[in-house]
Amino acid sequence: MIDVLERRAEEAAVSALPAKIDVRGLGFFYGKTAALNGVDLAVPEHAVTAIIGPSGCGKSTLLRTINRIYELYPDQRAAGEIIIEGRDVLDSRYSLSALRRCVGMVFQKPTPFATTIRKNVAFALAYYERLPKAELADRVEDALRRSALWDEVKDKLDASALSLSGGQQQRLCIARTLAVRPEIILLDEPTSALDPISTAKIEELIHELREQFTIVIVTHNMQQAARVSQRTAFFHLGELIEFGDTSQIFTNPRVQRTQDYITGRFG
Amino acid sequence: MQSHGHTLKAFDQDLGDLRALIMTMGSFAEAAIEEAMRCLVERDEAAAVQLVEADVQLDELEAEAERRVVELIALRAPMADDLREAIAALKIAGVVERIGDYAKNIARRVRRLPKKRHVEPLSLLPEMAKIAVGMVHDVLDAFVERNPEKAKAVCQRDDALDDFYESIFRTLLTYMVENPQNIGPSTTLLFVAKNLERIGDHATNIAEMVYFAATGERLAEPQPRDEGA
Repeated sequence: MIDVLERRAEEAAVSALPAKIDVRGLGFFYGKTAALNGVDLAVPEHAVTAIIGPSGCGKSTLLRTINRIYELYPDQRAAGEIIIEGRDVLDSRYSLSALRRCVGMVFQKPTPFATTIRKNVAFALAYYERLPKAELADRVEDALRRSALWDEVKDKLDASALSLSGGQQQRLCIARTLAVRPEIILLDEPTSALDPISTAKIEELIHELREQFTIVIVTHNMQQAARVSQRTAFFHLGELIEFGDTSQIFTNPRVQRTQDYITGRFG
Repeated sequence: MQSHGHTLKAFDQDLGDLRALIMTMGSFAEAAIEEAMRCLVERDEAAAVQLVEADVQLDELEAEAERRVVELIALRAPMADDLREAIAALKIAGVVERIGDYAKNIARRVRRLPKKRHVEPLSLLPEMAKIAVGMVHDVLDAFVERNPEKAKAVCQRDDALDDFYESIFRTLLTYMVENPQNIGPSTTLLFVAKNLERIGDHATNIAEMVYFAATGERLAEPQPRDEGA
């Protein structure tokens, strides 16, 4: 077959990737208000899945549900199943500590701890694993290298994390997440507070990381979704409206509501 | 397909302007074909020369369309059907320019026809041109309306044009066999018929682009006709 056509076939194969996160009939409630309704979504392994949709559509809620961060709040409740590696992580018997180890999350605003760069990365590692000092240093370096921050901070690992720029702080948060070697990384608008160059660096990083991790990114920036993801899910009013290959969603969406949203003809 | 106006009104304005520009190119090409045929029938050599010179305007319009599509993509980042429409506009502008070239070719052949003597199949050619012009007109309407069904209907008319060409070809061949003096003018008319037939093919290509822009699907290739029938 001609090379170009072969590549087309390879792209199509992404849709056949096995599901790493299998969301089934997911509902979510803030008190009595439903924020998600009957969501079924099979997030493919070793790929970037983008979640797009207008404010209040439930995209951040979905991320909060996948790592059960909502449990911190008494009146929030999830229904349905989220299957990771054959087990329902919403089941209260599933250890939260094991879940957080498997599923890392990076937030919209960089959230470094007010301590040194080194300790920021080592903190979670020390919590989950007892490592000899030398190995701990290796793991810190490895995480900083993978998050493309090493060259910029290697000479000041004991400087305060707060002395870094916004973009560097965000990459530090990604390094902190990577350090414990999770399988899934959830990114909630990771670049919305960053300048274009820092944004490009993070996007490049996401692109590289997808080989080893399963990544879900929530973004308001549709161009970003188009640039970094292989699959895209469009949410509206708590429902999954359309889910497909990113190239299909952005060139030929099947559902009118998706089309209206991505072309800017909403409401 | 668009259920709402774009949130950014300037975007709709840009897209509308681009459509209008493609329409202007189409009208120009249609008028050029009609004028070329008039020059041919009336042996109006002076007007034919003018028509050949005027073609440069169509080239300029094409360059303008290209510039606007690049700008639209760079500044507005169109998505989905808007993106397909912008790409289609770019390709259609190129094809319409080519259609203009065929009209120019026809105009160039006017001086090759004998001034006084009537060459019979000449009466068939304006009919053929009418079909070709109609196809160009309707396919650009379909583009502006984002109407895939109208585009599809244009494709179906290409068969009629091909039939016309076949019949003119046979007639001219008979003339040439009958009298070698007919070979010169008949060959000229044969080229004109071929040009018109090619215009129909290009209109069909545009129809496929319009169909893709409107639906995101490729128009199925028509089944080859049984030549023996």
